[in-house]
Amino acid sequence: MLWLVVALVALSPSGASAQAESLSEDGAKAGFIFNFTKYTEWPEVDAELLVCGLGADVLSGKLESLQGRLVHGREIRVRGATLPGEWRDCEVLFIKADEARRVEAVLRNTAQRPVLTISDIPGFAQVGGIIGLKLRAGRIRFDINQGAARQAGLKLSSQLLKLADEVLP
Amino acid sequence: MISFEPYSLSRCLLLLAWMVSASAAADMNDLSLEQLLDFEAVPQQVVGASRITQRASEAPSAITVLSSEEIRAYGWRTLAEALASVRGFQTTNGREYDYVAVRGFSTPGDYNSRLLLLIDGIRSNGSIYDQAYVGEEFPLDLDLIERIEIVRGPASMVYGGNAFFGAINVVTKAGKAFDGVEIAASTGSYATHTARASYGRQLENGADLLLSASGMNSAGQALYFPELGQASPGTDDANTRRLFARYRKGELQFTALWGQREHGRPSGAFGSVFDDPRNRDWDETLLLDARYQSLLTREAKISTRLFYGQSEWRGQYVNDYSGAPFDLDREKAIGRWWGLDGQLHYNGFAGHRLLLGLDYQNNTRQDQFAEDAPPSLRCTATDSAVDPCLEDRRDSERLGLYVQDNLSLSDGLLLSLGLRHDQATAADGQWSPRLGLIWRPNQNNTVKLLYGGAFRSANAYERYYSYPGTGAQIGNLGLKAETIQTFEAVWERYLGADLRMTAGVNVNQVENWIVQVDTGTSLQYQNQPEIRSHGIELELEKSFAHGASLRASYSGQFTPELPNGVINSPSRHLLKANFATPLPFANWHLGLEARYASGQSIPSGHTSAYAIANANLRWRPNGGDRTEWALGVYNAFDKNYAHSYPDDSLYSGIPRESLVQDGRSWRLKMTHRF
Repeated sequence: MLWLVVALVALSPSGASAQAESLSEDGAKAGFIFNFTKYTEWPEVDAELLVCGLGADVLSGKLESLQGRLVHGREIRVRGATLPGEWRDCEVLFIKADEARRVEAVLRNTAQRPVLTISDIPGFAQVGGIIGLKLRAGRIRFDINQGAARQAGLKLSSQLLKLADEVLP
Repeated sequence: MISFEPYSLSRCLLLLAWMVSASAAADMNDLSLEQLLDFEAVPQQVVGASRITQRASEAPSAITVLSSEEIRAYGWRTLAEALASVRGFQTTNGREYDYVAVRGFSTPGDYNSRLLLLIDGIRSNGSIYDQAYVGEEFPLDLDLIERIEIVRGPASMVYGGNAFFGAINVVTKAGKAFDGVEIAASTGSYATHTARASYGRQLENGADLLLSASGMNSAGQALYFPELGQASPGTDDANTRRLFARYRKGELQFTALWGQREHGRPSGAFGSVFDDPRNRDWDETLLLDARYQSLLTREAKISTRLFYGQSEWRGQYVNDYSGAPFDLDREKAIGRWWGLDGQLHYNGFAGHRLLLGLDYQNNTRQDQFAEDAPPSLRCTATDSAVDPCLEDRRDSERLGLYVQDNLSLSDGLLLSLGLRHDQATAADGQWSPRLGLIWRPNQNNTVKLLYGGAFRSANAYERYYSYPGTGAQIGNLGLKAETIQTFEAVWERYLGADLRMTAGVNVNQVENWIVQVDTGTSLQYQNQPEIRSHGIELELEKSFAHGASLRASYSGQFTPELPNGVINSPSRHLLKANFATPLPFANWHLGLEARYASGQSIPSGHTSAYAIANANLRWRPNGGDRTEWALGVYNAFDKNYAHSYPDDSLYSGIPRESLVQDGRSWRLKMTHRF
């Protein structure tokens, strides 16, 4: 068996990459959130776009990578938002899946406010959230609740609606 | 087996990853929505193919993974029903046990000894018959399954014996997935009732606990065997008991699994008297497993596993040798073993995932007994109340050493190399190689070129079992291990993000195939001359926006007629379609299965080709998966069909070539989580 080990070591290709798999699920979700902000119109805009994450260590830090990026000339600021009082001032609020028990409170506190609620909780758009992320065949897909967006005073572009799996009226 | 990522343990790469993680994430943010939709964020992963966690598309095998969601969607009641949905697999209800045919080989009566069946990486095949239980006798409740990894082709390189046509690794759910108490109960055809209670939770100290108990009782069906002109109205009863416990904390894990099944023998197999409720089988499995893994350095990890297993079978047949009183033949097989399994994972060389492994198993008991009561004078004449016909006590050891490396030659080109040597008591040493070249030119295409060899040593039953008199059987100490070499090519292609196509061809060469042969005076297991077979497999998987999914496959497997009149007769052509969809009314789901199989060859010609369909309707009253009602109808159109059956005319004097399979049946099941 030793010869095989030796042979393998000798064969060892130098610098072969360990695959660019660091592009993780969480990274992809952050990418989706960033893209959603490009396709959303808020009723009032200022220089900053406040993106909040509900829950500790949201998207394993990937949400923070949006900090400072520009969307339609606005600079993204990322903030953690654990208290109900903080939610209504967010312009994007991402609720991570293990905070499912707080969904009702979130939706109540952000009702009638221009907060783009996004979550990967199963059935999020169906219970009144605006964008629900889900997995299908290993790929990320999303559903949109248009009624919830309208009530929040947000305009979602038709291009975004076209790419959604399911658009609830 | 808990895995670790290649780069996270490699020091330089870890540092690199640390430094670029922010920029990698930034790259992700630069992707357009369309690109993100195409990105495989959560690739399907398997551990069963190489004993390391890897993408299914990068494993050196043609793989199918069935999820817990599919088990629920189609309402599968046994592992055999799940396997029957998979491309290239065909299952037979042998009335006493269920049998799996794959890769053009089917030997009902072989107890599935050419498939390795693992539960969380624990070998479940017994130590006397090498049997893999896939019917009701499978010791794990299907509700505890997270996924079923079906690894096609020879896998002896990682597992040693029995991984001949493939390995099936059943991965159980984490206790966390239950998050409390879950109960399930069902009722169905033939007065079949099941009940289960499970408790699973992540404990305060971070440990994961899962406990489960379940059972089944069935009165069974009234069966008629047209080939024999015999009915068996009341001897198909069965009951099972299953227990499962697992505790996992950090790197330490303990698993205990116990299952028992008692079953009447309705088929009159081996010439036993029909419709006598004393014809029975008892099967019992106990598996204990303790494992620990520790990081030696950032690049090296050691996992060790200590295991104990028990597999027992008791059988009882009523024979009519000389008129009344009937003779009662009692048989027993007791297997006990313990073993050690050690693995050293090393990722210190850039681009390599190296694995060195050692497998040791000590079969402390491989005992077989048979006795006749009252003494029939067929066996050793004694003046006691019973006549011992067989008392065979054995023990043995086996040791396997293997080395495996998965190396990335360049971006998108992977080479998987492995070699294993096995040594066992009273058997020749065996080398099992595996070589896989996996090419992923882009996200949408994977091509695998595979070569592998596997073996199965003659088991204690084939080697030592002897029984005198009518239906005599004699052992064969000269049996050589049977071996297989397989060449295979697989192409997986995504046509758009939602449609996946898989195409494969395989060529197999089997040597020293072990089958039971009628020598004219008795039965004996003997090696057969070389057999070659080849096959093709095609599969389409599509997922739809509203949540539906479709899997359709064709497989054709071509194996020549075997010499000596040996039955080997799976259907050559199998067509399958599985479709699961949410229904327009909220919280309702439907799972549909359809299967076509061409006729099986039997000595007098062919059985008829057939098509059957199953349907499973589910209702989740609250939307989530807390409560679920499911109504399954199996063989919905009540198609009458038969599969080939091993000829037991030497015992019974009546030739029988096929066995009628189940007609329509149903099950209503409720699951509730508190």
